[in-house]
Amino acid sequence: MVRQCIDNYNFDFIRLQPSNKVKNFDCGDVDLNDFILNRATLFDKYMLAVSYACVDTNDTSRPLAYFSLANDKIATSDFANMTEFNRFRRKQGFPNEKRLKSYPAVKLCRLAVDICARNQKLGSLVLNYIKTMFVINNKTGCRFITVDAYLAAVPFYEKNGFRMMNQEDDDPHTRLMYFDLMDLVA
Amino acid sequence: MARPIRETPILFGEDARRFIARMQERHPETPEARAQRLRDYEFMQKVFERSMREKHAREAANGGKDPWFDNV
Repeated sequence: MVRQCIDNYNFDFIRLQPSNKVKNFDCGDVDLNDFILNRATLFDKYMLAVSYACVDTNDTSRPLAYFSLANDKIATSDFANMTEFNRFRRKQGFPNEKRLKSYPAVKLCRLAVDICARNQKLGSLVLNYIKTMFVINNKTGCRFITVDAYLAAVPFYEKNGFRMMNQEDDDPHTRLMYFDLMDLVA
Repeated sequence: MARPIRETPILFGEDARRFIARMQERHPETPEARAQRLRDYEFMQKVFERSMREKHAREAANGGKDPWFDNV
């Protein structure tokens, strides 16, 4: 049904305005639902994130998928010793004056698919769009996508090329992961 | 109340070394994955451009409000 709506272009993909509050959404996770239904507009209003939604044009009151993006960075520090740190940095191939210690990234703040649209590869479709958008239309320089992934979603992100940021992460709810956009540059 | 999004931490020690080392490696996608990704992007971009035109028209016809959403 949902796949049919996507294939038949009965499907809209829009950037939400700060005033656009989603009427109805259920991804099966109470926390995520609460954010999308009650708090997302504040992030947009104060310019902390931008939100996008995929909508079935036959039922516009309930988005099929929702995601929001914000600027981020990955910073490295405190190697075992400075010699080792510099050795690795030199190997990156940056000119001396451009050896960076932090790297620009975009944070995938939230990505949720409504339960009515599960198993239709909508999440991968959205992820492929975001990845390519930041390669083809990289307006400010962005090397990585970061995500604070719910434990249940970790296999999805791994399947889509994301890696763990920390080897030991004992958070009971989420894992910090990243994707290197350079992997997409031929 | 929704759980706060964890901030991306500064990477230390082994995590930082592993991250920098990973940056030096290339893990190119397969030709099939690349073709699928570009197809998905082109599809979504086309839908996005049409959808935003229609959204602006909806808003213009409804006093600046999009009836698909609660306007706050």
